[in-house]
Amino acid sequence: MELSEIIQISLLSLRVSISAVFLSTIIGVFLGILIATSNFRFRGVLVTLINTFMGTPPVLLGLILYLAFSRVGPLGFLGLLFTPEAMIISQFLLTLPIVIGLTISAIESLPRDLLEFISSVSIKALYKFIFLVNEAKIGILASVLAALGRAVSEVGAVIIVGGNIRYYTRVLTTAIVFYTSAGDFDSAIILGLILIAIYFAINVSLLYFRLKMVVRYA
Amino acid sequence: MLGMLRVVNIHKRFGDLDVLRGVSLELERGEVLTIMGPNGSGKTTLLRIIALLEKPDSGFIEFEGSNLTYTQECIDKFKSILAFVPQKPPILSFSVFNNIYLPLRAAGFDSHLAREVSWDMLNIFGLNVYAHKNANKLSTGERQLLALARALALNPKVMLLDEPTAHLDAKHAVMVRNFLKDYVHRRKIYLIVVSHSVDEAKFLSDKLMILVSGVVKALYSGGFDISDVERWL
Repeated sequence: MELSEIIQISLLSLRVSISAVFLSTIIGVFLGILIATSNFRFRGVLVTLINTFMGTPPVLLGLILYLAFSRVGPLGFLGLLFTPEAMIISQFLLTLPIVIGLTISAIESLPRDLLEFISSVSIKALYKFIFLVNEAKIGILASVLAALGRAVSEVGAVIIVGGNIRYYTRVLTTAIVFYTSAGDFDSAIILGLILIAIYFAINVSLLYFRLKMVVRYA
Repeated sequence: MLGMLRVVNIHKRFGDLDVLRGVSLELERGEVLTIMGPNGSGKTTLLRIIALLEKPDSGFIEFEGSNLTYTQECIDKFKSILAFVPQKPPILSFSVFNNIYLPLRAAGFDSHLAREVSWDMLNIFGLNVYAHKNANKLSTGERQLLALARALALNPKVMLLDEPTAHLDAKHAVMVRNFLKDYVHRRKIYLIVVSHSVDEAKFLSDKLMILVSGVVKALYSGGFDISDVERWL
């Protein structure tokens, strides 16, 4: 395997995972705060469902998306099957419940007096959102970290909706599957080490921010 | 009745425990009521019920002629004129200045006014030197001062303070009491204070309520004898 291909696979992995987690963070934190601070009839059921979806088997999600994006499926007209965009969508759907669920936990674990104060003073919803994100930032960062871990290491959904097409939709995890089944263990191990290195680098940088926050606000 | 806050026959139960049993009180505009009583007598629960943070099992609250219900509209309206400072006041993870400035902005103050009021309050409470310090690094007493400054900055019509001077040194406790007394009479607000200090109650109060095991044991209006009060505590 050539170096240029390794670089291309690594960059695509990063692009897919970071795009998916970026989207799930924006939407998931918003929904998590909304659910955590609302009182409605089926809230408990919804939270249970979100917690259940946190453990969605990637192959099952991949299958559902495959059927949806296939030419005869309801979203077939979008022409997304076997594209990096379909892979981003699959990872977004996998990581969204993680961000929502962990954001709900982060908000709910804030002191009651603090939540009451924020809610009583915030006539403007934007400020309420800013206050809550600021107070729960360490928990929210942990949710992003967990989502990123899930996205980077996920293989089941991206291999089904991406198709593992060389130079187009092949990412680190699907490439490892391919080279292992082809008996090229050296390439598979190299890609595995790169995967670990990337995940380690992301973790170190996020943990650095987290540590800075803990030291600053403890 | 106009110009009056009335709490009528409040009952509250937590599990098997009757926390409040038929508590009633009346407070006119510009008056200070102090609630005293031993630990666990229901003082904080009563404050939380008046702040609409807890719903009573029965009884009602009437504010200036209107019954306070627990609809979101009513809660939002009442909380816009109310400041509740609990015993351990919550502090936002921002600078000391932003702990006053940002809640004012959130409450709808324009930036110029919010900035002006924030600095005024910081100066009054001697917190201006810490303006840019992280509020989480303040001492317990300084946090209490900050919470009071923030509550007053919001220009409330009703103030509920749960042991407002409990963590303050003698100098600051006197300063806060003087400021509160002057503020209430100048702005004609309703102030209810929970306190364990008879001296504080004597200095501040127009009315004093003694609450024991969820029951009003005594209600003094226009002065009281300290030894008479102390027998309940």
